[in-house]
Amino acid sequence: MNTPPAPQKRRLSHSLVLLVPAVLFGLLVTLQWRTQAERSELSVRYNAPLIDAANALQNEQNDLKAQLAQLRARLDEIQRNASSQSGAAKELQTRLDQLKTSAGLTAESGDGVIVQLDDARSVSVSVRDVDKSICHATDLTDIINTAWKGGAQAIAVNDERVVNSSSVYCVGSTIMVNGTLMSPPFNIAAIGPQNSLLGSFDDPNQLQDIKQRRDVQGLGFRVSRASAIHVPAYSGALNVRFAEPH
Amino acid sequence: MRTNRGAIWVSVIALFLGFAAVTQVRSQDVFSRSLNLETPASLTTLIANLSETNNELRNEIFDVRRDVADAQDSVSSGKGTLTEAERQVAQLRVFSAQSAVAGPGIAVRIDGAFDERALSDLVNELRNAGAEAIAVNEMRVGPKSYFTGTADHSIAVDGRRFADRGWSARSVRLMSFMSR
Repeated sequence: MNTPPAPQKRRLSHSLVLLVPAVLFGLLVTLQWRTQAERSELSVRYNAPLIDAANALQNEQNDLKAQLAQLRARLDEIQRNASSQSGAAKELQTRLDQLKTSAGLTAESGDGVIVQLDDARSVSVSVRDVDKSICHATDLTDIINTAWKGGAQAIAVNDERVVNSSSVYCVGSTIMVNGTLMSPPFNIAAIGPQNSLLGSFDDPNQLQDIKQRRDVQGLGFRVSRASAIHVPAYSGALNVRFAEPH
Repeated sequence: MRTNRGAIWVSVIALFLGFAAVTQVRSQDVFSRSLNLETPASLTTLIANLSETNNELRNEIFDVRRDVADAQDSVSSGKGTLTEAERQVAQLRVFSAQSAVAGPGIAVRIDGAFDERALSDLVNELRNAGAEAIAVNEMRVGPKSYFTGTADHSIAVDGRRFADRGWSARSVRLMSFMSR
């Protein structure tokens, strides 16, 4: 005949069942708390004023770019009005308009492709592979290179127009394009012949590294057709100071 | 039996929470790319770069403001804006690599193993350092230039392959942001 367990013994077994997860959970919470405490202590002591300064400078830059765009539009308006007076002025204005377009100083829209590039969001990546699972400056230069090869007419990275003086710069894990702070995800918009652009991106000889990291480490990389893409005008400085026409 | 089932549920939830907590820690450590995670040294470099860009913008604003004033004067005095438009045409031709240029700068010569990605990197670094005009083996690099590898392990710029294997990228003006 079975005797039911004594109430005391039953309570003990309940406590034991709860003990393991409770200890485990406590450990995990402590681990998280410690990691965050360490980081915030560091960033408060050294980084906070620097981050504030960087953000303030980026905001200032946005204002300066808006001011410059306004002044360029004002100059354009004055010249356009004046150029209606003579034939020579009209011709010069046409040349100026063509040059502005080819230099990237005018906004463009049209069909093309959008390339999305992002850090791997999955957590299954081992620490050894972290470097391969995040976006680098060279990934952006490689993508831009592939888009030009495919016949792109205009390219922008997160709304920063790519012009002759444009560079992608990487400090730590932050990326700058045209001297503007950026962070993933990146949207690279390329206006141009869609089939040729897609062909360039699909070419197995192009972007081998990115494609491999997408397949193995889960790097975010997607190329898709898009219509009526808008690419803004370059809003930075021209900086022609040392080069003289020869 | 009822209390036992309750204990199992509590364990399951605790395990789930523990897993979620670890996931959170890892995702914050590994994948967050905000400025918060940069070292003070990196942040200082970022600030130097931002300041440099803003100074260039201020200079340009100063120039264009003067251009606007000049154009207004010319229009009101009946001279027209031809000279100003010509100056702008000359500037944009340089900016978009449509006119030959001369000026101070540096020359880089590379011997040995080199591929199209390395060349692309080098051009990016030169632009980043403020190069106003760049040529690779006497071939001007333009706004839409691209670099490709050829079947015989050589490099092509804008689809045109170079015959020699010693690469030299010449740039007009090189000024490093950091060295100032």
